[in-house]
Amino acid sequence: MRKILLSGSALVSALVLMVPAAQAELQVNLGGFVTTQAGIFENDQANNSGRDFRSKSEIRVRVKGETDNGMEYGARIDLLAAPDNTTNSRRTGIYLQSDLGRFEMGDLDGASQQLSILAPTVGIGQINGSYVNFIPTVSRPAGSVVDTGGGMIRSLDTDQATKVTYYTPRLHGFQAGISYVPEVDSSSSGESVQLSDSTGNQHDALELGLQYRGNYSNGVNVRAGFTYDIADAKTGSSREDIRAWGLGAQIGYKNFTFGGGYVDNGDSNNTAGQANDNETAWNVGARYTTGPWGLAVSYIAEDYDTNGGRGTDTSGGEYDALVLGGSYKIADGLTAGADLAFFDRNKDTGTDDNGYVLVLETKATF
Amino acid sequence: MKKVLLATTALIAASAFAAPARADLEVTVGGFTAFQAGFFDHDTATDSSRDFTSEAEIVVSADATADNGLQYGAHVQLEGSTSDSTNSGEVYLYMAGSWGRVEMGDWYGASELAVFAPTVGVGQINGSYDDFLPSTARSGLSNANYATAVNDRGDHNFTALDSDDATKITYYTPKFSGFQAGVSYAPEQDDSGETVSLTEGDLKNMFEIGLKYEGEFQGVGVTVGGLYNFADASDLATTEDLSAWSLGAQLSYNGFTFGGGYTDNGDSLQAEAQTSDDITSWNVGLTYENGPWGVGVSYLDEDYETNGDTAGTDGGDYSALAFGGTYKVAPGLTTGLDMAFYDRDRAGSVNDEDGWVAVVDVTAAF
Repeated sequence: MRKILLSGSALVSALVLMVPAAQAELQVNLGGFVTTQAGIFENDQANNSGRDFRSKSEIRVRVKGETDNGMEYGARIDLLAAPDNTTNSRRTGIYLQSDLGRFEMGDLDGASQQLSILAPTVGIGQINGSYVNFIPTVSRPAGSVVDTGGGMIRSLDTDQATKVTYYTPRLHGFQAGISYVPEVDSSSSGESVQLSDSTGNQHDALELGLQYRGNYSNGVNVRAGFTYDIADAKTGSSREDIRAWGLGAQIGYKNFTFGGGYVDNGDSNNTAGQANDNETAWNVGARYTTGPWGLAVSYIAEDYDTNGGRGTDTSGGEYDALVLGGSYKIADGLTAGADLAFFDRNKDTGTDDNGYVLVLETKATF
Repeated sequence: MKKVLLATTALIAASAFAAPARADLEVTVGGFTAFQAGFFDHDTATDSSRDFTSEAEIVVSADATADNGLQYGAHVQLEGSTSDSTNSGEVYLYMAGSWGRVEMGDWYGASELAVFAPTVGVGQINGSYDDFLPSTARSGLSNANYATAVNDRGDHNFTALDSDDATKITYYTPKFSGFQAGVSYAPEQDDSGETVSLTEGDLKNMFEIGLKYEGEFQGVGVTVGGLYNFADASDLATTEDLSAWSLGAQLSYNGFTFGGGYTDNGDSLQAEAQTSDDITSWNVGLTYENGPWGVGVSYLDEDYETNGDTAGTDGGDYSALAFGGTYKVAPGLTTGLDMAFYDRDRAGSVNDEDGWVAVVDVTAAF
């Protein structure tokens, strides 16, 4: 995120003001992005519109300070700024960081999401990108625990549910992290409090993550990540507990990166007592970058047992997508990208769907 | 909250952009991110006994002084929590000079001159503990008529019922020998932001009148504040007019502050012609602050006549005793702990509730 002065109409007096303030040591940065996308698509759905535009914007505030004994601390607020956003922010939190590691509190991604490794991507994100927004909801891949879509690229985690996370320092390339989330459901996010032990689906979630990063003298670099997610289904939720894991690795040499991952969500968060509803997925991809250019291709295959599927969907079958993408940095903070995705949703019961999505994106980041 | 200049990597571009228009306005960004872990025990059978919450706000202020000495500016408080769905908490503009100060907008009124028990950190009886209470155990303002008609700020009757941040205009006198007075007028209590009330809401023509004195005698600080607030019930409403007052005082010496207040809301907003429905309350507290440390204890006692609980005709009383401590870790970074014991006794011993709440808080303010 780039830093910028806010309205700098009173530079001199503002600088003067800054000094005597109690929080003078705090650095406040304002950033964000505006993304516009044109999607051109085809699928089996009737009345297919064939194309639409989409925009997404955020304003990001970052605050950073340091204590006298060298501990770094700070806060972040990511305001959602798209006209159709109905909640004001997605991520807010506080962190403390020292030689002993990093401690995070708030509505933030947890250890599972932060330490997982999957197929390499560029720009819009290919299998991890925006193309799914241009696919009919019923045909989309299995999503996260709150079902935001995007596919089983990682083990089933708690998204940005209010949590605490501890990350160890990185030792010999290894870093571990653990998150605790008392209440997973979005009804408990932000200022909301879940007072009842029998309302909502999942609680007492733990996200465990372990990541390795190594850069070798022969120019090869390696990344690997393992994540394990646990949560207990709440009384009366009629859901299964969450027991999910993911493993992924990337190997890079010069401008090329190759990698992939495997995810086993088991029957996590599916209807309690239901048989044959396990869900697994794997992904693989390659990336090439040179100067302002990036090119990548990735593939994801999700496999659902007869009664598995997206969220509590029991259609079974499989979902797979092959996505090609490119990105180009036009100028500082200005990028353009294109992703072309071919997807195929085969259901054991219900209507199959397949098609393609072309996403053209221009993004201004500040 | 302190104001801080934003970080600068694009000074030239930003100032070039801003200079031509409002060259004398100084724009600052502040705000906070807070994280709280609540632990609690209530009479509810399905008590979840713990949850995390997070809250965030971004405050943009613009201030200037004109050549003729007029001070003016604007203030926008953006709500930044992931659970927020209205974009701002408070917005107002102001003009001030030797003649006093006028504030216009969605902002607290002259009731800000009120004085009650001193608190530190999380806020004890006026703090976050009641976010972790079942709504049935909360008292006063969070219930029925009050909730729809008048603010539920703080949920409790610390001070006379006010118009919260309904769109209003407020005038504050300058301070004369320690005395300051203020008066606010809000045409429609239910009305905020761009909304226009074309028909009469529950309350109209709401006035808040406040008077505060601050002085010091031989090292002892004295603060006294009184409020009288009144409004008319709309012609169609079947509720009483609003007529409420409160009075409070604090004494401070060598880091110690002792004080309390009394509030009489009478039968404001109760069903018309209903008898025995007055609500009164009192509070008292003691704090001690020393450098980065602060500790406090306060007690709140609310008394409802037989028909006085606004949830119906439960009557009875509500009391809470809260202890708290706060520690300033570093500039802008504070941590705090509150422990509250509450007791809701309803007349006739039905649906009594009691319990405790412990709140651990970490706040990064900027």
